[in-house]
Amino acid sequence: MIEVYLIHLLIIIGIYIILATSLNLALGYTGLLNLGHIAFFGIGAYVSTLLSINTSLPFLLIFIMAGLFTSIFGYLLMVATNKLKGDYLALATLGFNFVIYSLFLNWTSLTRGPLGIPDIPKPSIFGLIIQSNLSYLIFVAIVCCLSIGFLYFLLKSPYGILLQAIRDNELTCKVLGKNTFKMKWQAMATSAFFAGIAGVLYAHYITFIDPSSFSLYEIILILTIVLVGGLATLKGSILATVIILIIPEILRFFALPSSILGPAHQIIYALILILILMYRPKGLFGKVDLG
Amino acid sequence: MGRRKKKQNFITKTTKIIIGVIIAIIIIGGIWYGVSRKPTPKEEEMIKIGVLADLSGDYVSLLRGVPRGVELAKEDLEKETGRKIQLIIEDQKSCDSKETVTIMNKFVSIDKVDAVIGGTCSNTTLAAAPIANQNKIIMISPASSAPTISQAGEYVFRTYISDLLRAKEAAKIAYELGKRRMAIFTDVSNDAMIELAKGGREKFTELGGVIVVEEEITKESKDFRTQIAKIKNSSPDCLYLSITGPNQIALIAKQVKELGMDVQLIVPHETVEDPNVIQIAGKTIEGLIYVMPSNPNETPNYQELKRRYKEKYGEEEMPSYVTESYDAVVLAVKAVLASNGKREDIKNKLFEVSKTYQGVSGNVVFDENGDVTKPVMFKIENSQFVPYGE
Repeated sequence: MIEVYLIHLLIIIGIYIILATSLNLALGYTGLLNLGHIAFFGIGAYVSTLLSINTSLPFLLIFIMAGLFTSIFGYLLMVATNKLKGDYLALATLGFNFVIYSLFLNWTSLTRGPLGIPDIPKPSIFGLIIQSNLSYLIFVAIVCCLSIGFLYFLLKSPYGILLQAIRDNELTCKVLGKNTFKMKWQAMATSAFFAGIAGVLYAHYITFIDPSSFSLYEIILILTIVLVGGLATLKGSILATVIILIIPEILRFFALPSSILGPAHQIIYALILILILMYRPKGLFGKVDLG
Repeated sequence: MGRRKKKQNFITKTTKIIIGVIIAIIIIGGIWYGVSRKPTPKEEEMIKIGVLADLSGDYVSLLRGVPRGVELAKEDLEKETGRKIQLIIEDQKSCDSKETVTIMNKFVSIDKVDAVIGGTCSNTTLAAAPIANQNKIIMISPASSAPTISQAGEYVFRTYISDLLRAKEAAKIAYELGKRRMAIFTDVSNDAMIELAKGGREKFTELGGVIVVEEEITKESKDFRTQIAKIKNSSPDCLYLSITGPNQIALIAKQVKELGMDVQLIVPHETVEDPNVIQIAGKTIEGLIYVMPSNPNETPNYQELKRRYKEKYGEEEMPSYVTESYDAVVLAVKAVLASNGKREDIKNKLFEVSKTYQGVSGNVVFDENGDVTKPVMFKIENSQFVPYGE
């Protein structure tokens, strides 16, 4: 029976790996301090949920559409924040997060607001309904591998190297005749696309979504994963996702009295994170710093 | 980033080692503590109850009644039945639905609980419901009010009242007062109000009344004279106000009287319990009936629980959800004891035990949707909010 729990954890880890690696594309590789990533995650989740409940489009189409729709928001966010850098960009994208969160919460005729949307159908691909958690895990694993593979080759390519050059010195890139804005929005839109499909995977797995799943706490979680893993490293993000999502699960088996359980977990969790960052200030596999 | 490198120098190797050792000790100590606390009685004899509580985050204080209520129930039940009860209280981090799903999976696969108490916020209950149904584990929420939970599945119950039942109760009282022609006013900008209007409409027509007219407003509306004039033309004898804004309700009461109508006002929820309402509407709101979800009763078992709560937690007044959580655990344990151990049977027995048990939080007899009926009527009389019928 223990496998039920493990399968669930692996599915969640798979979804967060997609989320973390895609944030790393924007944050680590391109140097865009994007704190609005969770909004992309939420947009993907809501778009696919609404499409699959209100239309009879095939799941794979919805899956791609949700991703593309989210990447439009990635583009728009980049257009809006084009002139901003560093901390200012972080604040603006954080604001974007709040805007989207408020939309989820208050556009009740569409999103049902805080009540959330229950009974989201499980995906069916070519007539095959992914009902059991094990088959869902396989589905998530495939999507996860494809995403990581895509990101890996993208970042290995000259294009990926150029993205890193923008992070290290945007002015030089401009002097060399590169359209840095175009590359930045492309990176942001790609990052948003993957966050969007992570959202789709999440919504159809939990089969219930509400705005609280896309709140500020979640952005802190993903940011922690990326920073603990290290900037500009995919394997760091993957390893960090596993570590950060598994630690709280191990803590569950401590059997503390309920009066101190909540805070105690948080303290231990935070201590472990501090320890990791003390030994490896740039994250587990990080090589760069955002100056 | 030269600055960070400089700072690094302050953390010497010794410091790192010391901190590392401290954390290792905490972790090992924690595990050792956990292992050594492993329950002594045989596993089969224990009744395992999983509890979804909120132990960190924004709602710790608001929802503190849940873990406390279940602890108190555990103590009482162990004394009463002589059986060991193991509570597995998990933190759903202030209504985080992802966290709740993880916990439910753990309850099902590792702890193998007999019943689950929770979730607290409606979103967590809805997120957890599919897992409870799939694994045929009864789940009793002590705090969720969303009407959608009634349809969340046959294994999902709650000791807290559904918004919908309040609406039905309000419609019933209108009918019992001899009213047969109802007019409905709905705030269509609020989901819950639409549900309340729907519930009231269905119940009233089912009882044999007629809905003569329905009018819609939004939360910005301030002048209702046009709608009221229309309503007046269809000559209703009661007006059902499915509206959240207390000021709006007050204004409607006032304008109804101004236009010379004499109807019974009924509000299916409790936001109207606001001193402002009386200030605005004055005498015109006299006689309005509204429905409270809680049950501030003075029964002996309520008083006893209140005393024990004070003794254990040092608070004069019990916070919300203590009684509902207490009842949820009692019902779950009684159902497990009465059953033959099969999960379907636990569910069936839950309906039976709920009929004989006198709940601390009032009536806890489950209907076919796993909901309880216990709204309390209040009335505005002499500019005071008083229990109806007293």
